Amino acid sequence: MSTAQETNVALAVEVTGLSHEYRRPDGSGSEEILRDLHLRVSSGEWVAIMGPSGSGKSTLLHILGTLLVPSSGSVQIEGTAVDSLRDDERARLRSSSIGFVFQDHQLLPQLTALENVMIPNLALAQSVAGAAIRERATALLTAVGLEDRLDHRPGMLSVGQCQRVAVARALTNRPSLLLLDEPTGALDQRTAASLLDLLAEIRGQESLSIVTVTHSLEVATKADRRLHLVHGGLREE
Amino acid sequence: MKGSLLYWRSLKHYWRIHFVWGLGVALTAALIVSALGTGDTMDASLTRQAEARLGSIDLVVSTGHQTVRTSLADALSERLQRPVRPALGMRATSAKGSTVQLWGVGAGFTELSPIPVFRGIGPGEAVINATLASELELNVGDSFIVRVARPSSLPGDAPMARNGELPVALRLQVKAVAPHTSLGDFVLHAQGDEPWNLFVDLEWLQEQLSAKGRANLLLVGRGSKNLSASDLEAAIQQEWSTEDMGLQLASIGTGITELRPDAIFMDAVITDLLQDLKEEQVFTWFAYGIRRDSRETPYSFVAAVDPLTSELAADEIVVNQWLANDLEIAIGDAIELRVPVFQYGGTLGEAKRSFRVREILPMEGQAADPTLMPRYPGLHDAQHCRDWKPGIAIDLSKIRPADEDYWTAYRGAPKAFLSMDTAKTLWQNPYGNATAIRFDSARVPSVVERLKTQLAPSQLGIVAIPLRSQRLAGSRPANDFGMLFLGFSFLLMAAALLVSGLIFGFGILRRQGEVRSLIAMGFTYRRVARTFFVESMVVSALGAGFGIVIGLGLTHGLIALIRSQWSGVVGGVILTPSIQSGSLVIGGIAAMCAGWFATFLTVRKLGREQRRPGGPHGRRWGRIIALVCAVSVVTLLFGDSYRAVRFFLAGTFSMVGLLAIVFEVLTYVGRPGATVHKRRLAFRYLARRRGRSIAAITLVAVGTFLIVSVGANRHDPKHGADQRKSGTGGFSLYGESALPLPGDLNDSKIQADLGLGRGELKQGSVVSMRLREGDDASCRSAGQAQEPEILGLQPELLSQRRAFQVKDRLGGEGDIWASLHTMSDDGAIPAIGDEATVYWGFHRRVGDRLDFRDEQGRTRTLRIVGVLHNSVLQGRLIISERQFQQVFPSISGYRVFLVDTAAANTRNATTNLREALTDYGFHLVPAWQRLARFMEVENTYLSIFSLLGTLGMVLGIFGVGVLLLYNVIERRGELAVLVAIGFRRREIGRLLVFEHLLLVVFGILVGVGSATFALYPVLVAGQNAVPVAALGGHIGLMVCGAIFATVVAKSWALRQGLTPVLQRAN
Repeated sequence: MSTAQETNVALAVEVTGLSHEYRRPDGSGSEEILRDLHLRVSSGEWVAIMGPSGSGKSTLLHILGTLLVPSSGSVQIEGTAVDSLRDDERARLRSSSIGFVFQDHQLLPQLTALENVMIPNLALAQSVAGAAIRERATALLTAVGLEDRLDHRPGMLSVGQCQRVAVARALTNRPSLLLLDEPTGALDQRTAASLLDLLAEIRGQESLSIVTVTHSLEVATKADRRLHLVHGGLREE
Repeated sequence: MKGSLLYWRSLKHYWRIHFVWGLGVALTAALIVSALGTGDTMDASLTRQAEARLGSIDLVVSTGHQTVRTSLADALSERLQRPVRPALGMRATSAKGSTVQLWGVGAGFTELSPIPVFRGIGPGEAVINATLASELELNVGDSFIVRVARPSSLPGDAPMARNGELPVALRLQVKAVAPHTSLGDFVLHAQGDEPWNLFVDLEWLQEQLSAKGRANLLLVGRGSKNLSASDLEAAIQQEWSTEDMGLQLASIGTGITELRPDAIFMDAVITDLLQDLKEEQVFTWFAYGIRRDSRETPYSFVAAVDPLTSELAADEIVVNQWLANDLEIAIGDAIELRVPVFQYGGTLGEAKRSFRVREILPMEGQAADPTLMPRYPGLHDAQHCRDWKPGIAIDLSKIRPADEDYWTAYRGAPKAFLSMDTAKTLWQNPYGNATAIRFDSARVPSVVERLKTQLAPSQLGIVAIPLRSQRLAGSRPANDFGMLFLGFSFLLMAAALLVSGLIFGFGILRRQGEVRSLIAMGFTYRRVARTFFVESMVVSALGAGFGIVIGLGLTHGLIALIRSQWSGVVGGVILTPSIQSGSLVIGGIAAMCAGWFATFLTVRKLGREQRRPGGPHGRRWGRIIALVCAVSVVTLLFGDSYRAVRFFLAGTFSMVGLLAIVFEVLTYVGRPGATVHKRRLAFRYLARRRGRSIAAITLVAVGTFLIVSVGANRHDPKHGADQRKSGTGGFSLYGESALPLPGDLNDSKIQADLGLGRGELKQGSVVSMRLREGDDASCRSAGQAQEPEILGLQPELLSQRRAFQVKDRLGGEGDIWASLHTMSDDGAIPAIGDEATVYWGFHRRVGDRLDFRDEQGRTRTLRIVGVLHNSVLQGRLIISERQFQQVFPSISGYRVFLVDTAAANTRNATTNLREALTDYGFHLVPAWQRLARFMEVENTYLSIFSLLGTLGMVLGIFGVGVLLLYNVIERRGELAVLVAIGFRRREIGRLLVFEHLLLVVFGILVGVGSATFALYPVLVAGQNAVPVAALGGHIGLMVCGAIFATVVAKSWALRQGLTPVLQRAN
C-alpha cells in the first residue's frame, strides 16, 4: 500500500480500496487483478509503477484515466470522485485534466502531426478555430523537436518521432495529470532517453503530475517515487 | 479545425476497406433493386399484355352454345352509342391435331384493334397470330386446313346430337400475321400459354357453317360512359327478339301460332315463364317401337297434346287409324311402347311401358299433323326414312315400305298420344319438358313482349362479361414476383452484408488503437461511434447509389434470363423491362439501412469490448438452445398441416440447434488441455473467436441448406408416375379434346360411334370429364385467375382407383372424392383442386369459398373441400358431374380424359385414340408429361433458388477467405512468434487452411444436417427422389472452391501480413 508523502499537499490522484476483476475468457468465473489498492499522487509528483507482466499495471493506469470502471473502490482525480461520474462527464474530465501516452503512439494515421496534436480540442467541441490552438500545437511540436514535421503523417515519421507527437498531443489541453503506459517500450535506448528528458522538461514547464507504468528502470529512475504492483496491491520501493 | 475533417480524412485513408464495404452495400442494393424491378416489370408486362389482348374491347356478350342474330349487335351499338361487333368464336383443329381458336370477325373488328391488321380479310383468307404462325410454321401466303364443328342448337352431348356429321374442313390462306401488340392474342379467358388464334371473315365463316346471320359473341368496344355488365344485359333485353332466344314463331293455320325451339326441347325457363299457356304445350318424342303382341311398328313419334290427351289416364293411350291398322288394334287392347329414356351421363336407355288403347282417331287433324313433330335435326328435314340421322342408334333395316309410305304421306305425324303427365314422367330429361306451345295468334304480341321483358338474357345463357375489368384485375401477378425474387436473393444479400460487415469489422478492428486514443483524449465512445456512422453513411449512400445503377443492369440481365432460360415461370408473358422509380428508392434506402444496421452492430460490439474487455460468454446458453431446438424440431416433424411453414421452422430450429452444438464443441475443444497438438491450435483459435467462427459457419450452412433442400425438393415427373398416389393419379395418359366427345369413352356404343375399334381400350378405361372453360389457375399462368375453370367428373371413378394424394381436406378421414357429393348447408358446391391451383391460383385454403357465374349468369359458390398434391388436374377445380350439369346444363360432352392402360398397351392406345379422334382435336400425352409441364415451373423456381443459393454459398466461402485474412492480420504477432520459435511458413499455412476449412466443413455438416431434419417427412414419404450424387457433386465443388479460396487467402495473407511483423520481431 502506498500513501501520499504529505497529507497537506493537494492530491492529483487519490485511490482508495480499489479492486478490479476480469472474467475469464472461458467463462469459468473471474480473476481479481487489483485488490484493495490505495494510491495517492500529489500535484506535480512523478510516480512510476513497476511490476511483472500481467500484474495489472495497465489496468490500474486505465482506471486512473477513467477508461475503465473499477469493480470496487473509489478514485479521485484532482479532487473529483470519478466513480459517480457519467460517461460524458468522465470524457470531459479526461479531456480537461488527463493526458495519455501509450506504448505504441496510437496516432491517427489519417491526420498530420499538427492535426493529431490539435485533435484533443475537438473532444469537447464540434470544431475548433483560432490561431491560439494552432500556435499551441505548433509550440508543443516545436518543444518536442518536430517543428519541421508539422505536416507529416504518422506513416512518414519514425516510431520515436510518433511517440513525441503523442506526447505533444497528450499535453494539448494542458492536463494536470499525465498517464504514461510504457512510453519508451517501442523506442531504442537513445530515443527513449531523449523522450524522458523531454518529459522531465515539460513536467517542469507545465506543472504536471505524472503516473507511468513501466518495466524500464531508466524510466523509473526519472520518477519521484517508484511503486511495485504485486499481488494486486502497491508496495513502495 | 472541424470535426468533419476526421470523417473525410478517415474516408480517404481507409478507402480500401470502405470500397469493399461500399461494394457489399452496392451488391445488396443491386439485388433489392433487381428483385423489385423484376416485380415491376412483371406487373407492367402483364398489364400491357392484358391491354394488347383486349384492344379497345370493354365487354363481351357470350351466347353459350346457341347463337344470336348479328343484327342484334347493330341494334346494341346504336342504343349504347359505342361499337358492338358480332363474332363467331369456335375451337377448331389443325391438320396436326392442335387446337386452334377460330374467330369469325367482321369489318368492324378492325376498329377494336390498335393495329389495322384485320382489315379486308377476304373469303378463305386468314389472319393468324404470331404464336400460331410460329407453331405451325406458317408464313403469309401459305395455305392450311382447319376443321370446325357447325354450331348446333342442341347441346353437343344430347344423344340426338350425334348425327354423325363430320366437322367442316376450312381451307385457308394466310393473309397476315397479327403481332402480339394487336388483338391477335385475343382470349376470353386468362391462360398460361399464348393462344393459337386464327381470324377469318365472319360472313364467309357463317356461310361455311350454315349459320348465316348468326353470331355467338358480341364484342363491345369502349365508349364515353362506363358500361356495366348489368347495363349491357338490360340493353340486350331491350333489343333482343325471339330468334335470339332460340325460338321460332310459326303460324300453323286457323289462327293458331306455334312457339317452338330451335333445338328439340323447349328450355324450362320458357315453359315456366309461360305457365298460363300450360294447357297449350306439346310434348312429342320418339319411340323405338310400338308393339301389340308379336306385331311392331318401328320408329314412330308419340305426342302429348291438349286437348286431345287431357282426359287420358296414366295408362291410357290414343292411336291414329294408321297405327291401329298396322298393328290390328282395337279399343281396349294393350300395346307396349319401347321408348328411349335419358340416362345420367348423356346416354340413352330403353324403357317399355304398356298402355290400354282408349280411342282410335281417324287420319285427320292432330292425328295426322306433321307439325307436331319437333325440329329434330337429322329427321325433320329428311325426305325418306332411309335418310334419317337421328343421332341415336336405330336399325334402318327395320323400316318397312309401309313406314316409308307413312313418312311420305304424314311425315313425322305422331301415331300415338299420351297424357302430358305421363309424357313428362317417361321422357324426363335435362333439356326441357315440352317441344312446342300452341296458342291463339292474337296472343302473339303479348307473348313476345313477356318473353322480351320478363326473361333475362342470362337465363338462356346469354351473359355479359366485363372482360376488360376482369382481365385487368387478373393482370396482377398471381405471385408477387418482386417479393419472390427478394426472397430468392435474401441469402445472397445476407451473405453480401455479412462478408462486407466482416470487412468493415476488420477495418474497425484495425482502428481499435485510434478508438482508444480518441477516448483517452476525452472523446466519448458515442462521439467516436458517430465518426464510424458518418463514414458508414457516406459509404453506404455511395454504395447504394452505385448499387442502384448495377441493379438496373442486373434487372435487364435477370429479365433476359427469364425470357430465355426461365420462361416457364412467367407463363408466356413477354417481359419488357419497366422499373418504377419507387423501387430504385426503396432498394437504395433498404441497402443503406442494412448497411447502417450492420455498422451499428459492429460498433456496438466494439463499444462493449471497450467498456468491458473479455465480454460475456454464453457457454450455458449453447446447451439450452440446442435442447430447445431439438425439442422444437421433433415437435415439428410430426404433423400434417402447414408443411411449408413447418419445413422452414424445422430447418431454422435444427440449424440454430446444430450451430449451438458446434458452439459447444468449439468451447470444449478450445479448453486448455494436457496435450498440445498443432491441429489443436486451430480449434483453440476458432474457439477463441467463436462468434466470428459461428458467423462464417452460418454463411456456409445456410447455402448448403438451400442447395440440399432445393435439390431434394426438385420434382421428377416420372418418379412413381405409375402409382395412384402420384401426381398422375396412376393414369398413363392424359387427353384433351378441342371439341367435346359426346359420351363416356368406356361405353362400347360410344366407342363404336366414334369409330374406335375394340382393341384401343381393350385393357384400359377412361375417366372422362366435362370442362367449363375459365381462367387458367395453374402455375403456368402468371396472372390471377378470376373465373375458375371447372371440371365435372363422376367422383366414384377416382374413388375406386384411390387416385391422387390428398394434401389437405375438410373433415376427417374417408374418401375425399365422395365429399364432392355432399352439398354445404348454404348450397355451396363442394370442389377439389390441387395445391398450386387452390393456394396460389385462387389464394384459398380448405374450407374457403369461391364465387363463379353459372350458365345463367347467377353467382354460385364453390367450397374447397380438399386439396391434392401437385397433379395433372392443376389449373382447374373439380366438382361432381351432377353438380356440373346443374350449373352448366348446356355444356355438352367430355373434353378432358385420364386414360388407364396397361403399360404394354400405352403406345397402341395413344396412336389409335389420336387417329380415331383427330376430328375432335384430340390431344393425348403421357400423363407424366402433362405433370412435367407444371413441375417445370416449380423446378425453374428451384433452379433460380439453387443458383442464388450457390452464389450465396460462394460469397460465404469468399467470406471465409476474408475471415482468414482478418484472422491472420489480427494474429500477426502470434504467427510471427510461431515462425520465431521454429515453425516453418508452410506449416503455418497448412494450419491456417486447416483451421478455416474446418469452418467450411462445420458449415456443410450443419447445412446438410438441418436440411435432413427439415426434409425428414419428404424423405420418409418418398415423394421425391433425392439426387444424392448430384448434391454430393455440388457440395464437393463447393469444398474445392473453399480449399482454393482459403489457400489463396492464406498465401496472400502470409505474404502481405506477416512479413513486417517478422521483420520487427527480428
